[in-house]
Amino acid sequence: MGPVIQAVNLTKRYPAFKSPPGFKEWVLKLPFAFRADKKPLFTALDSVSLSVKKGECLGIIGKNGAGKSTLLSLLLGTSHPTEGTLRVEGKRTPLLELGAGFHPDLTGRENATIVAVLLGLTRAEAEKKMGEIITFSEIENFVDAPVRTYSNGMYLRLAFSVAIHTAPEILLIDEVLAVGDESFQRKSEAAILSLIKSGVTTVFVSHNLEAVKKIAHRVIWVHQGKIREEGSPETVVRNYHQFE
Amino acid sequence: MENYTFFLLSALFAWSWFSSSVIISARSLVDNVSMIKKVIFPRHYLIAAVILAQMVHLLFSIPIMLIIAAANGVTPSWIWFLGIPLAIAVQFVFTLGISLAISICNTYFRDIEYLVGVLMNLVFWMTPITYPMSAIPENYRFIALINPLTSLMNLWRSIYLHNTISLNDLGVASFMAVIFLVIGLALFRRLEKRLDEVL
Repeated sequence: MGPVIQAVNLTKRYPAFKSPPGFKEWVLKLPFAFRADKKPLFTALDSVSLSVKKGECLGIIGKNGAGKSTLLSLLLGTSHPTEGTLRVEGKRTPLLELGAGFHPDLTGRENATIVAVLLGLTRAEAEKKMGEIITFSEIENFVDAPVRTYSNGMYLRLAFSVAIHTAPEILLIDEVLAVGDESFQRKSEAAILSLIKSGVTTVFVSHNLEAVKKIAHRVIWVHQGKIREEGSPETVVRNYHQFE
Repeated sequence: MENYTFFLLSALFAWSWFSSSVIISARSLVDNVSMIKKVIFPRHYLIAAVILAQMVHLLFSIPIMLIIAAANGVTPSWIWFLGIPLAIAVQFVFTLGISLAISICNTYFRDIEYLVGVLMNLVFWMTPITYPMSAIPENYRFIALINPLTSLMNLWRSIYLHNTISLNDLGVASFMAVIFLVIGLALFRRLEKRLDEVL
């Protein structure tokens, strides 16, 4: 079986200064536009190639700012590579920022429906799964209250529960297993593991090296926008530890 | 002019839909950063949603127009049933084109939303809304006709005031709407690829 994710020489550059000048400044500078001063670029990812097979769990580790999240957003498709090609087969489900797309004034149930639809279910499917989602998130008593009244933990639990119940094919996880109390963390880890076992392809970015060792089949260590090492979780995590 | 209220409102409600849609959607990409960066979905839905939400206000204005028409001795005919949805459809396409272009540009140049607010006032007074086309000296009328909103507003007027669908205005307005949608969509498609770099 061919790889589900195939990336060749992915490079991503960002403008180094994020705040763009206004339209007014642009117009005022127009006469000098021909003296094009090259805008400095920041290379977040530098020709990264990787492939992930179906049902595989790829762990990505590295220091802050190494390019892990950039890589993940490229795989997700919310950003496009400056150079290189990327092919992804299947529905991508992000577990990046939990609760993205939640509206504070809608109830937990309404938000869960909306996010489930955003993640690719139909409305009918979402409503059918609602029972499971609510049970898993352990917020039965509050589902019909607006989410602005939720505690942080309830909010994250609901968002996590929606994401894993939308029949993902490719799961892209960025450091979100630390949700809720210890028992919920164990439960969500078990849920992710069972998804992986059932054949869901997973890319898992984390600083929690123990979790990476436990979940990932293969690990990539990203350093300064490049892949520094790739291999079995034990070896890469050990070398990463030594490097630190 | 007699019946000035009727005359004014026949175009003013449609104008409010247009202007509030454009002004609100100018910000809608910038305001939904977290969703745009973390979830994949067609980004132009955000803009379409704003315009549809603002359309609700327009729908509520139709009963008001019914009452005012009756008070002015105009009996709405079946033309309203045909003409109003048609005018709404044309205006939706036109507004979508403009809003797509403005909203995506506002992510690159954040001061565009303020410019839009100011320019909207200017466009309001340059469009025959508070005054009829006949108030413009004949030599200068072509300037108003360049303005794509003129034919749209005239279309609304023909339905409400005269119980007819001005085919001339309908044709021009639809043509303009499609042109603006094509331009807006092309610009949006092109620039949204780098959306993550500028937000």
